[in-house]
Amino acid sequence: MNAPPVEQIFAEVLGLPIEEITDDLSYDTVPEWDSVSHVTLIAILDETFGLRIDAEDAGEMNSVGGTKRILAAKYGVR
Amino acid sequence: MTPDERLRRIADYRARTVSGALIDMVPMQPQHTEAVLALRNADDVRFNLAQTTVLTADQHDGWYRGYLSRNDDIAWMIKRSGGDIIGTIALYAIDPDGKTAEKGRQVVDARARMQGPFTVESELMVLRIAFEALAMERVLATIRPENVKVISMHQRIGFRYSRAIELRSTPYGEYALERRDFNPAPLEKLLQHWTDRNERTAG
Repeated sequence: MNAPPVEQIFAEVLGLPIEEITDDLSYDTVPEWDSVSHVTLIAILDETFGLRIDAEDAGEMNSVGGTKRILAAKYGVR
Repeated sequence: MTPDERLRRIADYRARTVSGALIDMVPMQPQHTEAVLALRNADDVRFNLAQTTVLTADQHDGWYRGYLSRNDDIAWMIKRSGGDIIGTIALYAIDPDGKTAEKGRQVVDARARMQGPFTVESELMVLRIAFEALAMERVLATIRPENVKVISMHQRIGFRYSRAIELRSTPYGEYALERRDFNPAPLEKLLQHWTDRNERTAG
């Protein structure tokens, strides 16, 4: 089974249409992205891609684009 | 529960650390003043608490002396398990008859907020103390309307908007959670994931 794209995980966790999930979307701009949805997001990324995202990296994942960059650079998720 | 028993339990919580899976809640003491000031004087925190001036050590120490003279208030520092102080939280205005208590003074360092479910765990620990250990009927939280992320988190836990109020000449919303509506199970499942991943890493 193929893993869903990162954008789809964001859409499901934040309860937003996939069309609204752009690289610019950030923690500071979306009310739905609160501390609960952030840690839910990290947990689902862990499970989906078989990772253990480091706490420091979790703290840096504050935008969709930034999350994708960290996942690619440090965890090999593309 | 009798009022005397409730007051006895409050005194007990004011004197001991409560440990969760990822955090410890340590009773606030004078040696925490520096950490409290660092947390409370962050710009976003000052806005959300309608704190117009920078809090000083003298002001905090004065508040702390008042805290020691009360018996209806429990103030904690939030520490990562075995680690650094990352926040504060409190349960106060605890009605000895068990009707209502207020949850607040909640501040979690902006970076730590994103590094793990520390905010969630501190919320659930305080609500368990309120509803289970102190048998309160209702817990209130006052939140500025602009603080959408904190409102969102409270609604996930089951808080409902009850009324508009004004504090320090600033509009706030009052949110209430009834004991019967407290359902920590979904968030505890999330906490369990983080506990398991930390144990896997430690192992």
